[in-house]
Amino acid sequence: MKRRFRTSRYRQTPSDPGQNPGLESFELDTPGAGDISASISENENRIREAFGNSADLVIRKIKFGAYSDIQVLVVHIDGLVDDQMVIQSIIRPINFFSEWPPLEDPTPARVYNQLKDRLIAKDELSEVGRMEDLLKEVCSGNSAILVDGYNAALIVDVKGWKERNIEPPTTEPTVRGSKEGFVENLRTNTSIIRKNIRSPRLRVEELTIGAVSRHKVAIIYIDGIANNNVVQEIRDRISRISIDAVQGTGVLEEYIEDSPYSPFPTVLRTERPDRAVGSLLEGRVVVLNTQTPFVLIVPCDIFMFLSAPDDYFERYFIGSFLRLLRIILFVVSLLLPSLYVALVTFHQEMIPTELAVAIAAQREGIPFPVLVEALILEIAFEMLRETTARVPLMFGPAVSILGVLFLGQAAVQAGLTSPFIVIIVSITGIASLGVPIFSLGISIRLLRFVLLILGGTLGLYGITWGIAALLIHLASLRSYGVPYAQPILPLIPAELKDSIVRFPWWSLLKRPHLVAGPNTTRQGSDQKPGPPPPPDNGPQGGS
Amino acid sequence: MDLLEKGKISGFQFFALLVTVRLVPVTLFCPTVNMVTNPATAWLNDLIGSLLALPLVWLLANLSLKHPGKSIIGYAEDLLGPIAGKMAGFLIICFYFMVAATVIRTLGETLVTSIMQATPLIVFVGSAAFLAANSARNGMELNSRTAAVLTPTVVFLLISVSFMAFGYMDLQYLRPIYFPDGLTELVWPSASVLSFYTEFLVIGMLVPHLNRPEQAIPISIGAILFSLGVLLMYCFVIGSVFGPLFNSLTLPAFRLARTVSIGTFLERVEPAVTVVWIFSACVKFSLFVWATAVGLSQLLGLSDYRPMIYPMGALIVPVSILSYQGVIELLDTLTGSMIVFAIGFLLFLLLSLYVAWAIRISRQAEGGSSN
Repeated sequence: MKRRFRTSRYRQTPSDPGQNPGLESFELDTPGAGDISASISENENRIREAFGNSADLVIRKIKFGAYSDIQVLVVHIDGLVDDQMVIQSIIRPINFFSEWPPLEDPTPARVYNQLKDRLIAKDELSEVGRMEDLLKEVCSGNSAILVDGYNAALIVDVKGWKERNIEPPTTEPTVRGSKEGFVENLRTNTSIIRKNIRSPRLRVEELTIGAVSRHKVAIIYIDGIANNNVVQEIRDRISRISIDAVQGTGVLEEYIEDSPYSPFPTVLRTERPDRAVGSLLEGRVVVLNTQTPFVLIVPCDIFMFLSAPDDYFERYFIGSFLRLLRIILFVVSLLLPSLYVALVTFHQEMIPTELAVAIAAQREGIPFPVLVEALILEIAFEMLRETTARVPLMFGPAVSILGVLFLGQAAVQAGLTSPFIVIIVSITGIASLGVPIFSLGISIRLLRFVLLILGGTLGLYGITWGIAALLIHLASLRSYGVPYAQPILPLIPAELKDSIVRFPWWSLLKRPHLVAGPNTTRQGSDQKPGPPPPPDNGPQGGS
Repeated sequence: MDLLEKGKISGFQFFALLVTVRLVPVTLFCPTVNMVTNPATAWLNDLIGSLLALPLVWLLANLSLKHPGKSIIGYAEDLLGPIAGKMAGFLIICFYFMVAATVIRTLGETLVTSIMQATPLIVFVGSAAFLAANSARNGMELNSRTAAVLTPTVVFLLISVSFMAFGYMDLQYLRPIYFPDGLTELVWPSASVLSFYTEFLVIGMLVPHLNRPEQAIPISIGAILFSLGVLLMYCFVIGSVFGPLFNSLTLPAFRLARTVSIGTFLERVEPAVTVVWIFSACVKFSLFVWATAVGLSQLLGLSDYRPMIYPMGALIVPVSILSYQGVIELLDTLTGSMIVFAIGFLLFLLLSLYVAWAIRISRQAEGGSSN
């Protein structure tokens, strides 16, 4: 079970993670590129020209103190910066604080250094010498300060755009877990993770992708727990991406997953910080992106998709029961319609006689074979589900009412389908919503149709064939070198403790050893709670 | 000759593969029972056949251990020289090929005979072969992982079907132990049991991939003894349930599943049982297709065996269909000519390899003393 990574001819290790040489060809020409000039008016013109006089560009020219004639240019984009912060940390220091004490012999260089070393009241400060870098920083929500007569600029981080508050995750609700969800801001998300893992070993690496959009992507892992090969592989795969813009982690996922042709997702998407933190502590790596509240977790296995935070927060009996139930739901949603069709079409002898008679009686007068009947209802159900997800909110009830009427009543009364298949499709529909991670649930929907057709044409043999093909595929899948179907395929008995069921927390001594790096011990042994052992001299009162 | 497959298998996976190899003909067909006249004596054949298999398999595994890092194709050439070695290698590959063809035909016949009579044989044989070839193409690791999960399931299923049959058993059928035609009655059925163990020739391809090759002999012996246990249990159950009908059943295991029921709600579980047997037959087929393709690629000095898999699979399908007229002929072959051929082949192969090895050792000793 050696770790195996796909060796790629594209693999390259960039010298600087932020700069990808592959991106240059995608870059649009930046107007006004070149070194920053010493003349402030020339710089101003170049900036205005570069932005094509955009309405949200703010250029403020201020004098440095009352007694000097040196002018200072403050450039930023309205809406991306926090106005209060700009006033407090840039405008006010330049205007007023520069007077205490006044600069004796104000040359441009002295003014620049005074700003840099003393005046700007902000901890995140950097310098740029080239115009295109200045423009990029301004586009990222920073403010640039230029001094007349000096050919460099100060960049002050005053980002302050409007963003959503931290809210409960909408796609992965929980009963006893944290109510905090990720948001669309990278820094907020990293801070949520930091808040939960207060160790300097938590590493946050940022890369920039998208030649035009220039979005930040963060790779987060715990040094010493995560496997370095996996971290390097993610770094490589992300820096290989050369594209104009990556719109969110959904797109990013397609660039960094292992098996692009597989129906199964090999990268876990989650909105829940506790899931991300739990994965980090198991030695996995989390990838964040600026535009979506979903983060990516690699390497992952299929049981992670079937586990929910409540499995860990409820006591282990309940946790295990819920996990088992969810696995059953997964299997039911995959197999139930095809099994029904196969049994009714080919293997009637397997159905208990009374039930077989009941089914046969209700199917009398129905013009279609069971397979067609099942397909009609399944497609109708999928239509209903897709429409309710996309329809404007005020039409939702109308769609539901029509759906209930069609699926539940009219189709049966009109003799189009039998009530049994309605029951089967409804159970399947409910079961398919029981898969906690949407990306796996959605791939089952597709596989269900394939199995349905196999079951309707070749009976149980067809379904077996389909399952065998799925198993072979699952067993050959890997997510960043880790077998996707572990610990079942391959069978790793020690790790069954947290897969189909969840053992008590105090018995989960090890991290998944195929995932975690050098250190796989999670906790001290012998922590099983219990009453203190009875004292040797019998019960003693008073103490 | 370098190994073409880089995968590694654990001891348990090796064990599971061997058990699957031995139990698949039993779980589908049970050809041996057709040769037994008295159901009460059937278990003796299993015992004798399995015990006779022990030394043969020991000899086979020992050869692999003495040539570490080489498959049977590789060391046959080392021992027998380039021409005779290549011929021996070719014969071994033909043996694997034939086993694969028989397995897939058995699977197809079981399905056509038992659950889907109207479907042409080629549908089952072709689709199962395609599936198994796909699995083989993904390397041996995948197949052994599947076997490691599947074998316990199959054995569990066999045991539970046997338990369910408890109410139908009549232990009177299991005695008296007497031989109407004398002890010679034991010869052919025992030889038939032994003949299925010759499929353990695949050990020669598997041992170099074991994580700890030194486990090969104990695990092989363990697999034989475990299979013996299952065979004995099965023999007693079928004997005591069917009694005098014992030797006239085409698919005894299938009939047993058809007979039993759990309470009143789960009746006729045989399609469900067949489903699991399909899986294990696919694993066995896949193993032998893999062995054939890897062996042939090694013999011809190719650098990769994967391109061989699909053509091999495609070749096995027509061979398996054209080799036998029907299920009766298949059974006749398995209980007749196949016994002589398989045991004869294994004995001849082992004999020639060991003789060549002995000559080599004595030559080395001479060379060593003259120096």
